[in-house]
Amino acid sequence: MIKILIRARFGAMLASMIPKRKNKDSAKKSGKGTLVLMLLVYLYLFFVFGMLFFSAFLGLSMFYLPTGNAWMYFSMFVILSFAMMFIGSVFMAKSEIFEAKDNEMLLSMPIRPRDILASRMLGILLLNYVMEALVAIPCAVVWILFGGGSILSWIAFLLTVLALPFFGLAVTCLIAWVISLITSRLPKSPLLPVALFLIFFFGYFYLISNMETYLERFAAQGDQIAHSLQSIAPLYWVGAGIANANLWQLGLSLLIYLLPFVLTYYVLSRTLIKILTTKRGVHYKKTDISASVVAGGMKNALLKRELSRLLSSITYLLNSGISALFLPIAAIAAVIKRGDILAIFNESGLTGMENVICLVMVVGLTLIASMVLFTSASVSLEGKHLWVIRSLPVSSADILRAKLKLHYVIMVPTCMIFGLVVAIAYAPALPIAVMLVTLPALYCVWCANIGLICNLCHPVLDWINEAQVVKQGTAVMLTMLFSTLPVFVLAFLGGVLALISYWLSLIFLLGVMILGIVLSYRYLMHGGVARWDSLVN
Amino acid sequence: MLRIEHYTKAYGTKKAVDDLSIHILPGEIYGFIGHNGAGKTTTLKACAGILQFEEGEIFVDGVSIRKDPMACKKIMAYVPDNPDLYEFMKGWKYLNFVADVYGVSTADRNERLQRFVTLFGLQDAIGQPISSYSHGMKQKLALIAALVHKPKLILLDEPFVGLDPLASHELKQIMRKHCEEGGSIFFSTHVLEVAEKLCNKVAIIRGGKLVVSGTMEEVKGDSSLEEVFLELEDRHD
Repeated sequence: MIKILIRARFGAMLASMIPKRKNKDSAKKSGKGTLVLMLLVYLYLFFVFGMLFFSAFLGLSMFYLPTGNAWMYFSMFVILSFAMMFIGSVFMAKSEIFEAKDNEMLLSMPIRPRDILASRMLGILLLNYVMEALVAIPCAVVWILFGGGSILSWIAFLLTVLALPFFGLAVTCLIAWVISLITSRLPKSPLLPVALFLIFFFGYFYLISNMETYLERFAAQGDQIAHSLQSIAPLYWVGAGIANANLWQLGLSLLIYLLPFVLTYYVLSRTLIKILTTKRGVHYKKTDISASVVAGGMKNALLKRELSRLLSSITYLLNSGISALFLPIAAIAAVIKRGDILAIFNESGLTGMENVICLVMVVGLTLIASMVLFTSASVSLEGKHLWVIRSLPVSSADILRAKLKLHYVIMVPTCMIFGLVVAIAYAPALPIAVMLVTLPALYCVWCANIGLICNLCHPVLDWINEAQVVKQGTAVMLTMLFSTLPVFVLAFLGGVLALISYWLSLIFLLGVMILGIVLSYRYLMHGGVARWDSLVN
Repeated sequence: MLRIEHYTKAYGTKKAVDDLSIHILPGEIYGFIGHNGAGKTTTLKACAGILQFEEGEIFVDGVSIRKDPMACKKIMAYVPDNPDLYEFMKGWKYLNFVADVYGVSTADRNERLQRFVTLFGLQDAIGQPISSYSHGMKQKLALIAALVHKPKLILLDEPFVGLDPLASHELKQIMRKHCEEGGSIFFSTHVLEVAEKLCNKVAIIRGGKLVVSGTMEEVKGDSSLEEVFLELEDRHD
């Protein structure tokens, strides 16, 4: 039975990740091409994250591997891996285990709850392995560069790599259950999940934004910190188990990883039916319709519909809009740290670097803006509700425009405001100030257009769990590629032109972006509309 | 009000509906009967303008659904067999959204929504998210949304499934009143007794092909509709 469940679960996951073939004959060639493209996207993302952790481990290795505190290097590997697993899968666990739409159907069948749970946890476990690999591979590479360790140490490292995701799985499942419990007990308001999401992720951002400071402090006071952390036994065991190839410490570490998983699996499987079937927080009360319903325009109604969908789903908000929060953080940090940033250049004897700093910030803000993917899942999210909008007297072009408008309305003013803030704080040359205000904002428009095109080309309407289309969908992956990759190309070309003239660079970048926006919008209003009209659920 | 002419819809090589022609006049309640997979939903979806088709033509109040779907949709409403509504909205927000799209004035929507929400007993639930609704409540909400702009033609796919006896009764009253006022209703059902009592005309479809159609008296004669339906099924087996 469990094999059938696992097959069904992975079938659904793969269906959302791999482009669908509509017509066997014509789609064979394009299907293969898209598959290769998808693999390239995944490799690209893996490379980007891998390089990030490679540089982090390179910094740590210099201070810990040659000294007697090598255990700290591996403890950091465990902490970073766990953080990646937790962040990457906690909301997926919430929607896959506790809020999947087929829960009741499966529970009504002669299937043991523990099999249902196992089939769902396995998907999250595999995701944890992928997340861990992003950290483990750079960690191992840096370790090799520094001479590596004994065979026993490598075996201990391998065992840790295999066992750690079980610990991540246990914690994510428990936290996901708690979040699910909290949100189900609270009145259904879009503001509450959003607030919960903001609290959770601002905490995460705070930690990540201070990661460099922590690492520097770790590096500067390595011995002292290592000595004090040694007293936190489990943290010491997990590192020392690998570094010293100490079997006792390794055994304790494996116990730390596996025992919580066994207990979590036991408790959840015993209580799964109760957890999934107990409805909470539904208190019907009379609503005065006459006070609530007021006539509004059709276009406004379509935009509100998109906004309601976005604000009501943590999964959608988290995966598509998380980067939007980085914009104010990056801009405000750039303003607050203005003195420090300029001082770094002044100390190096480089004065009057405001223009260069602002050019880098143009790239930074554009890159952050390119990671907001509201439109890349907006077609797929229509899902089984597609009939509603299709049966109403609304033109396909207006529906697509509303999806774009949501992205524009949220992102364009945000980019312009924070670009302006940075421009005022650094007072660069006029063309660069114009770049700061216009380029990230214009790039948002391109990202919205390309996201919608990708989703219209690769829609998935028969999803069971929205994470399938919001997180793992082909459209999302392709959008990430087509929105982030051009930033680097444009940054390079714009940078080269900036060496000749800032105005030339500005005109070139504005021209390219406007051309991209016009062409993509034209496609949407013709080919995109035709694709929308052909959708059937 | 609704004229279906030689409508054919194929999925790959299989014809779901083959050369179907039906004519529904103003003031008529037209029942559409057939076994599961006969092509009822495929036909209703095409009439509602949410399913493209290759052959034939469908006219709503003289306007082709293919050539001017917007004009057709403005004067009709569709309720599917499984009303999957926007679960991220509250009941009243969904109704307000639909009313906005149809351009219903504040006064009209207030009057109609008050009336239908009370009629279907949704006063307590209307302020709650649709995700907390039962199947029957969603069905009621979908029916209210279909009535909010006072359409000339209403397309209903199995409208009585999931409704409690009281709501079923109210729906029948609404359907009769709608037709008395000159509107038309085209609906599919498996409940033959209801079709027999409610419909002026009826069409029986089998394997995508129209088997028989006409006024209730023409189709059933002295027998019951159930007997006619079973007889037609036996004849084709």
